[in-house]
Amino acid sequence: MLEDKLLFWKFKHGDKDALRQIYEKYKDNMRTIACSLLRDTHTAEDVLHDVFVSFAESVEQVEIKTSLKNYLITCLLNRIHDLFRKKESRSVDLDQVCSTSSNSACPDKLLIGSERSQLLADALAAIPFEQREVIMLHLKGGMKLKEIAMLQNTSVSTVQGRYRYGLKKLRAILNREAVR
Amino acid sequence: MNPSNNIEKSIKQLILPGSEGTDEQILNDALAAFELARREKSGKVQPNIWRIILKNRIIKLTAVAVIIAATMIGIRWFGAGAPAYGITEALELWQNADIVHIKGWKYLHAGDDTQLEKFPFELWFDKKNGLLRDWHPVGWFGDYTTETPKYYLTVSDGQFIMETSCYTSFDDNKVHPVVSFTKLSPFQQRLWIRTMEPFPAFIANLDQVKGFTKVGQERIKDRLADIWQGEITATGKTIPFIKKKIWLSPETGEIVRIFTWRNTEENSIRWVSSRDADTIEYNVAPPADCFSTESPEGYELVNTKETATENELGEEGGLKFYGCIGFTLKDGSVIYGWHANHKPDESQAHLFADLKPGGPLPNLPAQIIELKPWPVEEDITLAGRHLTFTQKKGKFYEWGIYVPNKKMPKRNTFNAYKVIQKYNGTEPRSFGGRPNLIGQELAINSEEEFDTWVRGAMAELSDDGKAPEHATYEKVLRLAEQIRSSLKE
Repeated sequence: MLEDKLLFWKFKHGDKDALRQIYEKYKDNMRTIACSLLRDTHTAEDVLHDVFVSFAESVEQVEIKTSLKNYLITCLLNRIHDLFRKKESRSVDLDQVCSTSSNSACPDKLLIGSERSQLLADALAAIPFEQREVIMLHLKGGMKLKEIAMLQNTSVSTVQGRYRYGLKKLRAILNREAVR
Repeated sequence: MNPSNNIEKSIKQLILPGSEGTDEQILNDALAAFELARREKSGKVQPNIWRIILKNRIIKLTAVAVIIAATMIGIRWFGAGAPAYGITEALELWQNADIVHIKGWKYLHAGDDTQLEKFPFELWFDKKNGLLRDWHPVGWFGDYTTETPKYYLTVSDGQFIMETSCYTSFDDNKVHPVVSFTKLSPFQQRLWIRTMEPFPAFIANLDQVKGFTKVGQERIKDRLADIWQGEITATGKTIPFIKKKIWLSPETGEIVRIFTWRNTEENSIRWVSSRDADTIEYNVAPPADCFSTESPEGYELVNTKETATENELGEEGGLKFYGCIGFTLKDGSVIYGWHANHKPDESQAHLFADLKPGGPLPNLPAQIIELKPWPVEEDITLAGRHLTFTQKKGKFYEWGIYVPNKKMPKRNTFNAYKVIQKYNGTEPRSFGGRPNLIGQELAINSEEEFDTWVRGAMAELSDDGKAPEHATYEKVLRLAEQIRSSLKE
């Protein structure tokens, strides 16, 4: 946390290296979250791109109330939700898009390094978006369930439920995979 | 695999890799956006016309001098009695001086701007010969980020620009000072000297200092000086961001001292000392080695003068969509040279075939289709048409002519031209950056100037060193008129 505060302070004061370090520190987690939620590497990278360019552009306005990590992940999530809204407005069912992607030669499959990771990513794609979001934000984003509840505009108990049911489904899917 | 007992741990460890080169692109774009935001915040327009020069800190440093000029214009002499010099004459003196020497103090702090520390700075400026020496502590809006402020030095000997800088190594986490050289082509050397004039982009704000008033007199270095004071407000803002006190000798018209404060608040005013240029001298002999571009001791060499290469106009590492240089004609039209190719290995020759002056722009993967005065005036658009193109080392450069649909406001009433881009089936990030504002285009008011600068720039970006024959002053003005008529229709 202290390191992040220092990095953010440097960033606010014009240090390019600080921006580099922030990117290096969080890009993997953020990309993984975006890929998992969007199920499309290129779209996920576009979102990551937009988040960091916007972050850099608004250096003067950015104020961190919780943590730098939370801030960036919230920005990421907002972008993803915006993307969903746009897709919805074009009458495209996102879940359908996701499932189609997962059945086709999805770039994710080509990029994921190990079979274990691939299975996990596929399993994540198979659970409902809200559950996937809670799991990824909690485990990869390090966010508390209470914070996720605020982001999802729902109660903590709902988020807890989504997390619990999501994990249960993951276990079921992965156990099935493991048996094959 | 039996991950069911440890799914949470597996997800925590899950990393989905990205596409090759994406990180570099994202980071480059973010850094470019960061740099732009910084410059815009500082009230200095981010120019795109001549990156080789503009990317250098000379601009920031020269801004000291520019602000002097900017502050002088518009101030009227209200003193009674003596045939004193007014501010206009003072400006002329500045412009006519071959050499200007400015030194003083920069006020910085380590996070708490109530605890200011003074650090010296010094600037030598030989406009006649294109020589510059600028030495100043590194700080951004008064802050410094290390316990000891780093100093940057920029020296131009007319042929080379030497810049010191530093980087923090990820290996040892220490700050490493480095020095690098940029070589200027003969055209760039001439352009360098030309652009050492006070820049139009800064003069654009001079109207805002008309309200400066005389607040007293003071003896300064055995000379009586009138003190003028005022605040400067950025275009489109209501809260001033700069306050200045200027000591002007009524006997000689010389500005002898300038003290600057900056406002640290967005919506209110809290002035904090920023800079005290307490010594300003004109046409004094600089020290013998003042403009020497010999590398200072203890610095790592990024390159040497022997290995330094000439960058093309506008070219900056990795950018595939950028502006090269811009010119404003007397009728308000703008000629802007730019390049866009996200696949540098692929020739664009076919895209430049059959183009006609005044016709559509080439269908490049990215285009600069319009310009707008910035801050944006929605009803004024400078529509882009093809003027000509040049080719150098496999790169194609479009020279667009941008003609306003309405009468343009005076150039000094807006800061810059906003670049409106269009992407033709390409991702903006695939270009590694984009042109944004044209802030320091050259004003062209005669055929001679056109030949020297516009045709000179075209020749500079041509393999054969020649500008296209049809791109002449008269023809271009006629073409602009035709386009203007067609826009009205």
